Amino acid sequence: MQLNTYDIYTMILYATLSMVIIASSFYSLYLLVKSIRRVHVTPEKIKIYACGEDLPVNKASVSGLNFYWGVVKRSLRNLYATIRDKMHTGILSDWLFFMSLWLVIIVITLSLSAR
Amino acid sequence: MINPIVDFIISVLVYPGMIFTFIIALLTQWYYRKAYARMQNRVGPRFVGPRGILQPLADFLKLLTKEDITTIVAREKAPILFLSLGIGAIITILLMLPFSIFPIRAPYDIMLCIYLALWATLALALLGLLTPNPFSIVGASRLLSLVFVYEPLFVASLLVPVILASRLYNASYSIYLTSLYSWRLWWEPLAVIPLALGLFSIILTLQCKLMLKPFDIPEAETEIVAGFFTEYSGPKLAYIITLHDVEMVVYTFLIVFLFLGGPAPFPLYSIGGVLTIAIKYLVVVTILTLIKAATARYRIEQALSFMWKYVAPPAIIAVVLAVILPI
Amino acid sequence: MYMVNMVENFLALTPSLPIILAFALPLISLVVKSRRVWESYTITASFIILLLALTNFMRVYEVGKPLIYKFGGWPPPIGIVYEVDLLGALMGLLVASIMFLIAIYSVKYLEHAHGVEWYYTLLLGVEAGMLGCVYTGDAFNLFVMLEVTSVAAYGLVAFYRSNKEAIEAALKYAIVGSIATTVYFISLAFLYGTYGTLNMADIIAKSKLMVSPELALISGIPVANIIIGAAIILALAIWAFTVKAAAFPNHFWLPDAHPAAPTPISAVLSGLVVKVGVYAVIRFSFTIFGGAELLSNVISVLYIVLLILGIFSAFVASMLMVVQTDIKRLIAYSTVMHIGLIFMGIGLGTPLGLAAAIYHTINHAVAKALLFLAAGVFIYTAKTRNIDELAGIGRYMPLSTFTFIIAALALVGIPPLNGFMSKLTLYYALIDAGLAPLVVVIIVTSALALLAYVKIVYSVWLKAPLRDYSDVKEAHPLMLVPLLILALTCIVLGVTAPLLMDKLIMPTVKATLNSDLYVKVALEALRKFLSS
Repeated sequence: MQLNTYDIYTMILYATLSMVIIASSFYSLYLLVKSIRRVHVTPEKIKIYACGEDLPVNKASVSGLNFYWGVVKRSLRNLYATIRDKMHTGILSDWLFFMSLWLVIIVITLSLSAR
Repeated sequence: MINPIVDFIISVLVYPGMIFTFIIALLTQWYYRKAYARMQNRVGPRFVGPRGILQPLADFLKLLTKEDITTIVAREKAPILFLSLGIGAIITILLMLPFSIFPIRAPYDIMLCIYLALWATLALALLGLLTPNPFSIVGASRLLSLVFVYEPLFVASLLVPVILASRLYNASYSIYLTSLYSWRLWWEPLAVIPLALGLFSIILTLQCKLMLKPFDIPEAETEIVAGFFTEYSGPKLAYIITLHDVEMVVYTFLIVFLFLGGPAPFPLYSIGGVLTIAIKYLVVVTILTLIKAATARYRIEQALSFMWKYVAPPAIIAVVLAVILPI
Repeated sequence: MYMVNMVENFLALTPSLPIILAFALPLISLVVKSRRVWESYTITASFIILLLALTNFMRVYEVGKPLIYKFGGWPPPIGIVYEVDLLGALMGLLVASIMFLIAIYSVKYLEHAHGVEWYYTLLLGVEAGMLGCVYTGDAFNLFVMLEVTSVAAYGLVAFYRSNKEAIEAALKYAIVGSIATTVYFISLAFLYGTYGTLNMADIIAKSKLMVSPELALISGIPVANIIIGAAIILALAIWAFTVKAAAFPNHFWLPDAHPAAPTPISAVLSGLVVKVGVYAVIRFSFTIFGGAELLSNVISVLYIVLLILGIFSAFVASMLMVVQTDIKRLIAYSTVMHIGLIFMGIGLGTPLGLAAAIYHTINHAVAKALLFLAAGVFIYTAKTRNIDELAGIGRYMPLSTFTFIIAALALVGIPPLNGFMSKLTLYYALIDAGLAPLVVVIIVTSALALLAYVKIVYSVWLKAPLRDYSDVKEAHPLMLVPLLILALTCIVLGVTAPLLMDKLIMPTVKATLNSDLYVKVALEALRKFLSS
């Protein structure tokens, strides 16, 4: 059992190679299986599953606003209220307020450290 | 031994690569199905093979030979592509552990391990989106919401033994070297605190990452039909189950080697070593199954707040302690 | 000897040629009204500049020390010099190559726009300004070139003149940017008052208390207290550069300006113009003031400030990325996040951190330009920027969607693409410096960014189409070829990472930290002048 030590960048290439080898074996297994068993397509089979109801295709999706409902509207609601609604308002004078705050902080910090 | 290229191919495909991991995944599936069933006063797999041990293989072969139905606007080959890449990425992590015949290691390869695990998460997340079904999209979006919470905690917990071993024994942040020294970490009085906190948080984070109850929110059965794999049948479903089991195998091996000390009192290639690894492995799987059997499913916001309130503080404190403790 | 002289002339030609060509274009357009002529003029011009930048880079790499060009023959502290070390040459090559691809892309993207001769004029102007910024060796010249870049950028953001959102965004960008360059000008006043000179090499010599009779003859000894002077100069200058580079409290202009501009210009702004701000921060904090022991207190506090700035930038931007509905605004917030990561690399203060920052600058420029250009193909076809309305358009353009996914994966940081390699170097640098908990912070921001990228990939590729897109074909070759070249570059930069780190990034880091060599080259030029 030889112990091979590489630098991290070469090791990434080895890891990618092994990932690709295993992935292609599984993929070829799938292609093999698919060529053995053909799908007998009927219109009922290929409809979108909506618990037996009829669902037109363009309704089978979620809008971009509601996509991460659990995160944005429930868990991190307070954090978003502060950052999105109070800070990023789009009003220029609010921006300049934050920017000047940062200017004051950096000038005072660096001047105090000048010894 | 023979030739580096042949060694590499054998270790990728046979041991500890594809075939070995697949067999261990099937056996693990049998074990946790049997344990879960006995905890619920059922029998579990019984008929196929002695005590039902061939049941997972039978399920895999059955699913593989069924019809592969693709709905009208779904992608046909893309799910298999992502699933195969995910399985490949997860199995590659095993090449970095000590029991591989061609162990590849590099300094800082813990970060590579974490990002390979990300491929599997990405595959599962995209899987729900590759078929436009309202149930699968809701499942995928819940999966991604959980990812935002468990991924940093998983990283934080995995970093704890690696940082401790690198500070004490000069393991240069590599999985291989950390697993050689991890049993000695339990004997260091100051290192036990972050290590224990890390172990606690990684068991719970793994519960979340493997989507076992109480965190099986993305595949919430009967709430959103089957969640992110609603439209999948036949070979695709077989690969999804394989990915899930292979993930369980590899992450449990990571815990056994990085936290619990691997084949601790015995050397690696001996009967005692193999038995010790097997016992530790089965203990971890039993704990995961126990939590799975004893709890009900969380809602998404309850799960997120549980993780942030009870699992994040131990993990983050463990990492901070591991960095600043004077050892 | 003659070859060396000619290449040093190229150093001045590279920023001056685009300015001359830019000013010539409106005059040409008075006479020649054909769009084809303007387009081929711009493409030829940017190709020539690419060749010049490539020659400069190869020459600097071969010679191993900075090359210097004295404007008007006047030696360093008296006249303006262009002193190009490996960092400047590398940034120049990056700027020139991506601008060339964007010029090709703009031909097809703006085929229906009016006033396109002004677009090409301003495009060449932006390129000239950026090349001047990265090549210059004089602090006041940096101010001038920063203004050239910014003014051209303000004009380009307002290109869609009839769109009120674009005008408003350009005005806000102009006001904020002008305040920034004014504050930089104030810091230059402090610089001259403290040191008595504006030349970068001379400032290094005076900060490191190097004894040099020639420099003392020309520019005298510093007249004021260097330590407090450098503290004020650094505070004001770095503040100004963080406005240009869009780091956290100064980033508010970016999510308004970048979406409102035409898509090729968004790629230029996000990919290249903000990198000029990063370059200026690196130059000031590592080369000019970084090596002096006198100023080591100030510099270490500056590094900590930049590190905290980077963390906040990455976190706020990634949080806001998740809730956007405009695809270009989402990509613009992603720029702020990656600039935060680059500032974290700079703020570590170690050579490995600087290597991570430089490598991430290159990788982010390529991947972000690719992401914007691929999104531009979809926006051009669907004529909307809303994520919900763009649903499913990617199905009919497989190659463009493929490059879009490659760009998104590269920015998330998936092995083996280039974004992963530079993020890995950043983790390496953080753990090496003993700051492992920050790795967890970066993973949180990357997880949030992953959420946002999956949202746009889902919407563009996987959603069921809302409209009838059956007449949509693959993108025109003039738009497709730059996309494919950039995607190939992403993959190549990732796969050849061992080679790149060893042969390109680490020498660049050494050259940036080697301020002694920087001064030596300038002193030699001064001595040659005085002895002749």
